[in-house]
Amino acid sequence: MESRILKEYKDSRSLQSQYILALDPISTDDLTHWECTIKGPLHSPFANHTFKLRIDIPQTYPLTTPICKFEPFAMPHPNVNFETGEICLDILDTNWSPVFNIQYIVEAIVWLLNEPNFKSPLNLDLANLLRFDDLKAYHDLISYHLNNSAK
Amino acid sequence: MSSYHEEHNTSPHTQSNPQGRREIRSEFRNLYEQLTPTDPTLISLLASLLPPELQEEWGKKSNEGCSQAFIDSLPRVPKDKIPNDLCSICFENFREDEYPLVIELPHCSHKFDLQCISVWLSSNSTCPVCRDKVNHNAKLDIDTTEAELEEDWGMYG
Amino acid sequence: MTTDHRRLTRNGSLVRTVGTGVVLAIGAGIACWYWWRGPNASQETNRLQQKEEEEHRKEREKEPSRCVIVTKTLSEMKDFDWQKFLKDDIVFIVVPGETFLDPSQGFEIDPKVGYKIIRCDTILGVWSCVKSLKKDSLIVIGDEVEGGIPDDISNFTKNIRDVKSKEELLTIFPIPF
Repeated sequence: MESRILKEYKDSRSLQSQYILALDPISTDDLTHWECTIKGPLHSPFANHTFKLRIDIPQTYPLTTPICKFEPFAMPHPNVNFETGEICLDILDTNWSPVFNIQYIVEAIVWLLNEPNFKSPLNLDLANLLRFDDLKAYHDLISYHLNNSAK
Repeated sequence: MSSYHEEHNTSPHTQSNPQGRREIRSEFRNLYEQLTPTDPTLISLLASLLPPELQEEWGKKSNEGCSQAFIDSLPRVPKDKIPNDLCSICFENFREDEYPLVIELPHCSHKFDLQCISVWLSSNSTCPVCRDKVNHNAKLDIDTTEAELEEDWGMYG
Repeated sequence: MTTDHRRLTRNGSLVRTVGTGVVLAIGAGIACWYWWRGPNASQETNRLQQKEEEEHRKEREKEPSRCVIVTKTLSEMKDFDWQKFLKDDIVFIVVPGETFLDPSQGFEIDPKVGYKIIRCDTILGVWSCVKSLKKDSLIVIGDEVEGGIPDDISNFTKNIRDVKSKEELLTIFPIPF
């Protein structure tokens, strides 16, 4: 499905989005590896921070899901593995559909920053703070990790 | 099985390693999706090598695809009724194809290139657009004796 | 004791002395040989050893990171200049119901270090933070924490300092009033 990814590449050139600051293939010679910069959503603990995503497109795309992860940032989020940046999101797993495109995935990840799900945690401590309904600690702990890594 | 873990650099103790487990799962999903519906014996063989909790998922997954007979029976859209629209799988305009083969799913009327939807339906049974089940009553009808096991092992072994 | 016996004993100790001397001489010989051969034969091992020592030294020089749980006693030390410690690799976790450098009480905190204060609504939240932060040492007045220090905390922080009094606290944070 090379033509599909080529189409997405062309569309991404004129992409305008509040939260997607950049969405580019790492090299224009190979459209299977992408890099993306997103902005943390307002009113979330991630506001005022930017994050980098790495997106790898499999040969079987769009019938199978791209592999997305935060990179190289230690990302404090209940559904993101703090060390590896791996993301747990249903549309990147069992709920994938070939109608989704790269931009849609990135938007879903931005949405996930605002709408964490403590039922499928990859970061147990942050998920537990949500489970205990301790939003103050949730906010402050994320803020601590973000500022501490930024140094 | 040990060689599988070695090759993929994952731990066989999948329960204590959620990441490894996810890796294995996606590996197998990729592998599964490369298989055609004529490989059921191979599928069940591979499945039997998996830990029980994945076996269930794997089994579920392997039953999810539609039969080739069902895919072949999908109603074609007559050439003069093909909409000026994009196939939502390949993002190409139906009409730009010189010889368009467009089908319509019976339950939801969503239209796709036959080529695109057949690959999807061979391992899934939902409409990519609305996620409705495409064939509620049809059952996967596979004759396992047809599977050419030896040849296939050559491919994946 | 007979003379024979005494001679025998003397002979015995003579044998022992000579034996020990021989063993020591051989030992010294081997040591010298290794010392002489050392630079050539085990250069690689030496280099690795040096590197390891260097790393150990760096590790020792590095100030250990600290996680402090703010309970009643610490919270009541309002005149204490806690802000000086915010420059360190430190994090203060405030238990529910207590205040610490609270802006509403007129404290002005440098926003560059203000993120090092985590305020919690639940005691379970406090421990989740400790686990997530994995600091070198945990400083806590265990008696003032509802439910005490959970057993599994030792899996997440190397050194737990369960402080018993304000005086002990002042030895950890040595700044006069």
